[in-house]
This record gives sequence, structure tokens and C-alpha cells, in this order.
Amino acid sequence: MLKMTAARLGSAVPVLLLISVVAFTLLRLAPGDPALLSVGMEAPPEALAKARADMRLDDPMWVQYFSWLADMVRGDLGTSYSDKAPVTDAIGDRLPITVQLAVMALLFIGIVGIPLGVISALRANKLTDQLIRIASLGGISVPNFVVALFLVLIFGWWFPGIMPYQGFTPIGEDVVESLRSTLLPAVALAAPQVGLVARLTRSSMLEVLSQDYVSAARAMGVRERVIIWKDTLRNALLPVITVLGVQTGFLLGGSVVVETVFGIPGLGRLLVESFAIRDYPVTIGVMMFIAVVFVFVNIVVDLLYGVINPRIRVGYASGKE
Amino acid sequence: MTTTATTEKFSVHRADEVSLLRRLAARKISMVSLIGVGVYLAIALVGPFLAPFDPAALGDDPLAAPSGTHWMGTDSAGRDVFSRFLYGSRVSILVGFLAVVFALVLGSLLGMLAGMKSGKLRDSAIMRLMDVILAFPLLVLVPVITGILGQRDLAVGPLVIGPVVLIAMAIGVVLVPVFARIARASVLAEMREDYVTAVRSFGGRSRDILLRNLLPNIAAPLVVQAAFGLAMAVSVEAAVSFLGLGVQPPGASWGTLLADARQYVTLGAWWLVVFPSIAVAVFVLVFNLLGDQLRDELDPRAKTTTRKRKTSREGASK
Repeated sequence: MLKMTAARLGSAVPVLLLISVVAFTLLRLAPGDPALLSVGMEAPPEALAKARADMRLDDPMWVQYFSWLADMVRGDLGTSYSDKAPVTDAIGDRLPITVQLAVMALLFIGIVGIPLGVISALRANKLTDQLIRIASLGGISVPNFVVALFLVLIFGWWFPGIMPYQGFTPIGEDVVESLRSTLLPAVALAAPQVGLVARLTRSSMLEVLSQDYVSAARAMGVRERVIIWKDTLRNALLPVITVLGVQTGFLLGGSVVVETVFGIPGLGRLLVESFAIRDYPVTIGVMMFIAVVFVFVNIVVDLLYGVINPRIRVGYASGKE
Repeated sequence: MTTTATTEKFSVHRADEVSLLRRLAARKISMVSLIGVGVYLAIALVGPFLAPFDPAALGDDPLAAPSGTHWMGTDSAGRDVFSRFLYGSRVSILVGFLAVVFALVLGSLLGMLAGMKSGKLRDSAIMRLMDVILAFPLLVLVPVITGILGQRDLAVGPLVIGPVVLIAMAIGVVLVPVFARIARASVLAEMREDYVTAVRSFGGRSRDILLRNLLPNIAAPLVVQAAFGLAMAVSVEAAVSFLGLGVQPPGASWGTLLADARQYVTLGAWWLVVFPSIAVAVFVLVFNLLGDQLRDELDPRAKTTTRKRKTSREGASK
């Protein structure tokens, strides 16, 4: 297990390096001059030249890259062009907000999506199942920012005053109010995923329920409740966990659009705001942070597999699939 | 024996294509999705000719609710939302189609090239590149690529590539890994088939094997993915344009219509939100349904119900 963990972590390094090279190059190739954007169009040429020198934009690209890489390895992501604050601080400020949002969204996805899928599988092809399946497909099809806009319409115009629909209250200020301020954004983020998880749980449950060992357990007179909750669900949740894991990666990257609609200052907003003014250190810092989270979440998911289903730890060689 | 297997595969495949539409039409759900596809195609083709007003013409009645003259109301500049919706639908659908065509061609080619040399340097180079694309936040990648591509005036012969096509290409790039992965996985499976060995032993050139032998046999999962890809491309366009990073005003698309709507939602201008939202959501739904149905028809190995899956597993083990 330890060896497997080390191997997976090791294989992440080249991927992350490649990501950093591509991110760096793409950003520099994109049109827009951060120096010009920071001093303004009418600034004298000397000021522009000074700004360029301050931002070290005159160095060759590979020099810029390697000095950035050397700093990054030491945990220093540079300073923002706009407010001269360390990028790590900027990320540190925004991260808790995004995490709070992501955790709430994940809770919604799990608490609503998995039971819906289980019910759907147990009532396969009955009316309940059909209704859940139609609702899930509908849910998957509505993009989350559309859900977000409708929530703002409902709680901002039709029924104002029930739920906050704009802005964010820090959790340090007022815990309840803070949770309330992220409730609607979390619902918007979760809505499309709930359908996906319900569908996946359903098909996975059906697959497991048709296995021989389930029939054997039934034949031996094991109670149906035990079969479903103890034997079936555990195996059926494997693919669901993969999907939830991948979604955690996305959620931690911050949903730019949902954050924009609700005015939540999370990581996603930081990414788009910094990109708009070509604040390279911030943009690439956030991009690398998201990439690291994404890669590591995938590794954790793979390892979790082994914990949940010991057969996989032994290796694929003995199993059929 | 191996050669007959080849011809058999081809002939079976051709027969599939001929009756595919008819077989899809025989199912109720597929019929619904086919009608949906038809409606969207019609809107994209003839919609702008039906527009009652100039979509950019400013009116003197801003933020008016839907009425007999303005079917979908007017926006903050008094423009007729229905006309803008018709023009915008064409742009959104066009971006979606172009993006998927781009991703389908490039992704399949890269995936097949990788799959033919699995485990070799070419394979890992291509697939790592795909991993890198997947690891980027999509909503930054699309505008960055659009920006990079748009720096010079690109042209194919006499056709100058406009901003709409650039956005489509950028979204296409984001979708490439999905198609590449599917193409690679399918090629890996096909390479073990006897007919490939046969063609190779006759000295068939790689390019011919790729295009003439492999492509027809791995087309099914790619076509299925194209339907899902369309749904995805259209919602990505809507999201990117919504953030102001895609289609630029005064041009209209579902995304820019929603961006215009954002500030006026809390003033109760529901008509600005509702119509483009429904258009996006129903489009995604229709193509997701179509994808599901196509998969059932074309790709029996991926069937969703357990009983069917069992039979196909027996078939695969033969």
C-alpha cells in the first residue's frame, strides 16, 4: 500500500511539471500586456518601461520560467502585480470560502444523489424509478449557472428576504449567516451532479444486485435489508466514489460562474479577476494550485478504492476485470 | 478466414448506417430527441429570417415584459429579445457543431495514433498532453486559446476565420482529450483483432490501416460521444460568453443573452433569463438523450441494463 502510494505520487511530478510549462507558455502567448494594463494607456513610455522591468517581463521567457519554478518549489508563488501581496496569501484568503462551498455542495450531492439512485434501483422500472430517472436526466442537462440564475430570480425577486442571494458572510463573523450565504450557491453547484450521481448509483446497484453472491445470500435467507445495505451498496458505491472524487477536484477549483452569479469571492473569482488584468503570478498560481488539487484528489480516489474494496489492493491479476 | 471476417465487419457496419435513422425513429424517446434536434437545426438555419426586428436596433421601451409585439420582451437597451434570441441561437448552435467537428477529427486522429503504438513514446507523449489539457480550468483555457489564435488574421483560402470560429476552435481543443481517450481505447481493442493482423501481414501501410480498417470499426463510440460532446460544447460556450470571455457584445448567443440578463434578474426581468436558459437546458437534454439512444443502437457493449450487459460480455469473450 505504501509502495503504491509512493509510486502514484512520483508519477504526478512530471505531469505537474508539464502543466506548469504549458500554463506559463500559454499565458505569455495570450494577448494583453500586464505592464500596460497596470500603468494605463496614457502613461509615459518611461513608466511603462519601469513597470515592465519591475515585473521582470524583459527577461527571456525561459529565465522567467525557471526563476518562477525555483521559487515555487520553495513554496513561494511570487507577488501579485496589482496589490503587491504574496500570491500564497491571496490563495489562502480565498481558499476557505471555496472549501466551504465545495463541502456543502458535496454533502448535497451525496445525501440527495446516492439515496435517489438506491431507491431508483430497488424500484427498477416502476413509476418511482421512471420519475427519478427523468428528474436526474433533467438535472444533468441544466448547466449550474442557469440553476444559479433561477435561484437568484426566485429568492431575489419572487420571494425576497428568505435566503441571502448575493455576497458572502465570512464564517468567523457569523457561522449561521455564513452557511446561509453559501447555501444557494452550493445548491446550484450540486444540482447537475445530483442527477449524475443518482444515475450512476442506480446502474451500479443494478449491476451488483444481479451478481451471483447476492442470489446466494438471498437463497441462504439473509434479510433483504442486510443484503442491500451491507453487501450491495458497499460494492456499488465504488464507481460513485470515483465520480465524487473527480467532482471534488472540480469543486475545489472553484466554480467561476456560480461564484460570479452569487458574488462569492472564491478561488474561481480570483482566477478570472487576475486573468482579466493579466496578473500573471496570481493566475498561474491559482492554476497550479487547482492542477495540484486535481491530480492529488485523483490519487487519493485511486487509493481509497483499495480501502473500500480489498480485492483491488491485491491487484487486477486475480480478478476478471 | 481472417479476410472474410474483415468483409463481414464492413458489411455489418454499412447495414447499421442505412437503417440507423429508421431504428432510432422506432423508439419513443429517440423520436422525441430527433424532433428536438430538428427544431434546433431549423432555428439555426432559418431563425434569423423570421426575426421580427433588427437584433441590434435600440428601442424606446427598455425592459418591457413579453407582449404581442415583443414575444420575449425587450432588454435594457430596448432591443427585441426574440430577435436577439433567434440570431443568438444560430451562433450558439454553430459554435457547438464546429467545436465538436474540430474535437472529433483531431481527437480521433490523435487517439488512434496513440493507440496504434501503445506503450511507445508517441503514445505516452500524446496522452500526457491530453492529461495536461484536462487538468486546466476550462473557463481560463478557452479564452486564452481564443486570444492566442486570434492574434493574427487566420484564413483558410478566401475564408477569413471570424471570432465565432475561433471560440469554437478553442472549445474544440478542450474537448479533444475526451475523443482521444475513446479512440485510443477502441483502437487498443481492435489491434488485437485478427483482421488487423491480417492486413498487416499483407504489408498494409499504417495510414491505410488507420483510415480504412480501424476508423470504420471504432466509429460507433466516437459518434455516440459526439452527441454528448455537442451538449457539452454548447453549455461551455454559454458559460464562457456569460463571463464575458466568449462571444463579444453586441453579438448575441445564449451565453451573452444570459450575461445581459444577470444585472436585471433582481429587478424581476424574468423573460431575459427564462428563454435563453430553456434553450440551453433543452439543447443539452436533447443531445444527452440522443447520445444515450445512439449508444444503445451503435455500441451494444456499453448498454446500460444488466441483462443486456451480460449477453454482450459473453459475446466479447468469444
